[in-house]
Amino acid sequence: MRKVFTYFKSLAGLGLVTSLGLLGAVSCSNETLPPDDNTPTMTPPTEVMTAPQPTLAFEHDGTLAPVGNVFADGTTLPDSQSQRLHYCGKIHFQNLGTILSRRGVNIAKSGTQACSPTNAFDCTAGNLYTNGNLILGQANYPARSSESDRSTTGGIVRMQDILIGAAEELITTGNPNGTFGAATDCAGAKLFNDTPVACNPDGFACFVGVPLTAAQLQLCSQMVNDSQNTDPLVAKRLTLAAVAATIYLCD
Amino acid sequence: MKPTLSSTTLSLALATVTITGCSGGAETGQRDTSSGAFREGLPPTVRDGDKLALTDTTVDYMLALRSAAIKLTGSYPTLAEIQELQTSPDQPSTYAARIDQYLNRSCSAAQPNCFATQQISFWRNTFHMGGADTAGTPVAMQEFAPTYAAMLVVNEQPITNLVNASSGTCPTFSVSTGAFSTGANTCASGNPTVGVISDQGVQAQFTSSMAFRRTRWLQETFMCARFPAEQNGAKVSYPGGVYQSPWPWNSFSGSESIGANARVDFQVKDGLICGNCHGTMNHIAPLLGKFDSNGIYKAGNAFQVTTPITGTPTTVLTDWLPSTEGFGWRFGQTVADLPALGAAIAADPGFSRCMATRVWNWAMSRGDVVNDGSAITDDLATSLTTQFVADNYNMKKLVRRVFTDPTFVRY
Repeated sequence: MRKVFTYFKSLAGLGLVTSLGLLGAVSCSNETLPPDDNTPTMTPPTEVMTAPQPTLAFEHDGTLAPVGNVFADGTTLPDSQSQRLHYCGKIHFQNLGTILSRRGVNIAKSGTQACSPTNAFDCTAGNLYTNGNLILGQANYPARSSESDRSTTGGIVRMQDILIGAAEELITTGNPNGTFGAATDCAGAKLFNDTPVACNPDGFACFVGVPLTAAQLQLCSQMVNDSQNTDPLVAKRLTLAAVAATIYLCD
Repeated sequence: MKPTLSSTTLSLALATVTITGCSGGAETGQRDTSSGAFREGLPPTVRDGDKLALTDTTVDYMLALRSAAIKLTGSYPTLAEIQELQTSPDQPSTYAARIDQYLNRSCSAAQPNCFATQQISFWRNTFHMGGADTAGTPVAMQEFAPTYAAMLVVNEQPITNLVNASSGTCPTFSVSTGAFSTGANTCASGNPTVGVISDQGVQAQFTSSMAFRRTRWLQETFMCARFPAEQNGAKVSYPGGVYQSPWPWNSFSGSESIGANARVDFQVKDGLICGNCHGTMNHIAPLLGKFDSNGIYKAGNAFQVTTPITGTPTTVLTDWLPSTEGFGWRFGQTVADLPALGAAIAADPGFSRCMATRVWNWAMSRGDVVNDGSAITDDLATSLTTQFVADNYNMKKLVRRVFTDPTFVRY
């Protein structure tokens, strides 16, 4: 019973806060003070006061919206500066598939998932990729919508999941160092050295498309040797996904 | 079982983000106002990366190769390509040679991604239409226009053909042979051929009341700017704003030019000045009004679009213009028909600037010039378009120039 009372008290409090908020909002927008006993009551206007509006019979596809996208690239910096910078563009959906498949990752959609005894959810790189086409910003041309230029938060998270799935394919019990297959663009390279365990410069360069800097390589090797990772395979997979995910963010 | 991230691993990953993303702040214009111990403890190159990004770029051919490979071939560079550039004693030459190889690499069954497929993708996104690589149900006829544009680029034909070619605008591309169809590639629609302007897929994709969406597509795709397209007229103040289109006030339909019988009043002036955009639009739209909603051109006097008033009747000329008014691309540039419209667009200096801007933005991963307002300066536009026009609108050469530009290889 006490719990119910508290609940209603909370609602009442919420209502009070809301009322105050509305009052504040109204006050601000009208730039008037709330009336008191000494203030004469305002007479409501006799006619409806609305700004003249155009008769917009047409659907203007949103082009007449009074506020554009304030976060658009073109509004953040002067052209003279922004045109000299590389922006962080999203890797196109199709290209992401090509990049992964040419590095030995199976991007095909498989049948039933068996990731969990009780739940069926996407866990392979292929299923995460193919079922993630919308969150990864693929175009929808029938809706006149092009591929998005930027990743969304959800897209970045999906990318991380895909790369973990890819790492599980590339680094296995039978291939613990992640040696790339002969038919890939990285043939002959491996992701990790044996003794001591360290990130291999060539393998990582090929997987992310650019050689890691010395600092990044050092960080990579530090990560894979993290003492909290007791399973060497898991350590390697997480290291690969963590390093790759940051670089796959931008095209 | 899914691996889990330890806190140490997460911290390292976040640190990696910081290192690799050091120039991210500059592009968004965001400034971190917090002055926590974490930020203060970072090396200056990381902490002030956003400020330094503009002034402290360095030449990095390895990063340039990665970016170029993704855009020109659809994948990362191979290990062999990375190692070749990494060990090259003359990186600029090696890099330039690799760009040439990317531009000339053909698709094949074993290599289904190449410059041609990337160009098709580029034009799909530019045109907002395509018959593949899309959510939803792909529409086959939407693939011709992007494929034709890509063919012009890959085969080094003038990109002005996009708006004024009179034949061969419906090619197909074979990934396995790496070639565009060179046969008759006559468009099945039977439409008159005026570049992609008359393309059935284009006309169907952008069908709307009074052909205004088609008109807007032309403007935004080939001029890289939204309406109003002309603002150089004498300024006349009305309650709803200032009319500044050069078109005479009574050159488009409305309650004053047509009178009480006007079905649509484009001369509204008490809330919004419709004429600022529609002064231009109404002189173009009738030329696109004879394509039906399926994109098929119907000869004759009747228009195939409708006017959004009660009963949605078929549009008549006086819904756009007074009966004595001619068509025009811009004020003072009369165009009698679609071929003349295409020629006017091709000759407009805005066309070459638009193409140069699109290539530059693509290379630098900038947002869309229209939707994101990612314009380039007059100086850069002039330097790009002067050579582009001298090269007879050869867009492949423009692409090469941009991807080997000193700015492109700086990070």
